Amino acid sequence: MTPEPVLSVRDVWFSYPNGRSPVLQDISFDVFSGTINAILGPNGAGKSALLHLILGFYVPQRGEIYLAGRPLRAYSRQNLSRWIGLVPQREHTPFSYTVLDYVLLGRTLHLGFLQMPRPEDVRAAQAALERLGIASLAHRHVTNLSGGESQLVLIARAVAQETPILLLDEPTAHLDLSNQQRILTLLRDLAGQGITILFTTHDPSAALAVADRFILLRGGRILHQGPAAELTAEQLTQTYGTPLQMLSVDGRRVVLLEIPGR
Amino acid sequence: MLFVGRYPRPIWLSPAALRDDPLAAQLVWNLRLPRLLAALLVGAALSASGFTLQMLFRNPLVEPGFLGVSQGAAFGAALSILYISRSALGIQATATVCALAGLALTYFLAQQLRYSGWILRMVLAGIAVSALFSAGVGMLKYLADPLTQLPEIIFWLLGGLWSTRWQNFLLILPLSLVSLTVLFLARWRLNVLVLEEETAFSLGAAPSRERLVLLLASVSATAAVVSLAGTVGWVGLVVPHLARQFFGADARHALPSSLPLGSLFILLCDTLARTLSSGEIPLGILTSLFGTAGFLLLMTQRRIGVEQ
Repeated sequence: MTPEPVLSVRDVWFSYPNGRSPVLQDISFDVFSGTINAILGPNGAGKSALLHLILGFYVPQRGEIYLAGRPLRAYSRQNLSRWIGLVPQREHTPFSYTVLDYVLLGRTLHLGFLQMPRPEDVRAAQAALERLGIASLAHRHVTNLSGGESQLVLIARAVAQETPILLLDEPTAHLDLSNQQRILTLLRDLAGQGITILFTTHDPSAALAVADRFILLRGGRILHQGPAAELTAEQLTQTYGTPLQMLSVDGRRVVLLEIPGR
Repeated sequence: MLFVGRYPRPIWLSPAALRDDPLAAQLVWNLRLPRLLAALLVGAALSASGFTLQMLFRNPLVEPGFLGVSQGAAFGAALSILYISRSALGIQATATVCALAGLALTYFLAQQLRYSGWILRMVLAGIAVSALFSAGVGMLKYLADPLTQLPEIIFWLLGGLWSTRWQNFLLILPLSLVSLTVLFLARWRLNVLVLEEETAFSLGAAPSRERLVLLLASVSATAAVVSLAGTVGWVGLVVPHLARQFFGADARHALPSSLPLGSLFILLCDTLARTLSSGEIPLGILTSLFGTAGFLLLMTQRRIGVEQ
């Protein structure tokens, strides 16, 4: 017997409020608890839009998204934020918050409109920093962090929110290799602790390194989806519209670009 | 500050004179005291408003002069002086209505624009609306009676507290206090509203609705004090940065500390305005002078981050 999916996207069509052509068409897939799900596709394929739909920030024109068996639209805004956390792609703030104050924002859902963070919220923020191994950054300013550190701080904020589902928009983009390794390892650890993860990426090798399942998007449609073990070079070639090779090294697969004449 | 002025002799009025000289007592209790309180209120309101707008627009270069609020209020005041009423109540009411109309127009225009993101659209719309009201004030200046109405409009546009009496101070007190209280109480939430719309939403906030509440509160505070003091620029830009310098970016601490800083700034400027010369130097000129100096200092020392 297969377990019930925690998230279930059913026949979803979506176009932005001002846009004419649909950004996403006929999207259906399931996400199971504690798994890592990679959403891959070229620029403009609709990856971010899909994340924002799952977040409940936008509502699809057609179809339905189910969260723990109930339609997403049946959830209140606050209730949604108890379920799903977001790690945005990059965040610019012109104001130099300390890392601890910034991570504290992850506690918003636990606080009323006029309420100040309580000592237990500060403890939760500190715990999130410790869980990610960046407690030493607590009193640094967010405006003075490296790319990798910023990404860890954004993840810490979502972890402080204590949601069972995490959406990450290109968490490894703009990062050097050691930071990519750090973030991907972290995603594995979080999934090991029972958190369900969906992330978008441009890097199929990164997806293959950690993901349990993949979703390939092109032009707002799902071309292929399935367990990561079944992902093929042909599927990726079709998705990106450029010839790609897949190599197996010590039982692990990597994806290579084909450069003509080399 | 209460005893600093040019009566009965320049600079200092001895507290003893309050007992002996009825004119001095009259001067201190009925002119200088309400004026001093008004200076404190104007400084606090413009700073809190500027602080809030900078955060809501994620833009450290914003102050109430954006969004058509100050210019709307100025236009309203000029309009009232010319055509409606030269009474304090008339001027303040018209100024407040026009400031809110300025905001509404900015908001509406920003929704209609087809360009870039919401924040930039709102700033662009604000610039256009401000220019529109400024042009309106320019026209009113030509229509004004150069002997009676024009000096009043011009002095009012340059900003000043010379006309403050108990009556008009008490008139703006309720609106400014309510607005300031809202901003003060919701100050932590302001940190959340700095974030992108989707992120603020994911954290459990209702970004558009909460932004609107705080926007209205800061505009009301501005309109109230602008209707009393005229357009007093640069306070709302510089003081929030000073507060962040000393107390960090978190609005929990920086916003409350911007209130006394703003009050002190205006109090000092206004005291100079009425004592430096035998005439009165418009307050707005002094705040611009010190405000730009402070701003340039902060900018050149890279204390204000403007990269996006």
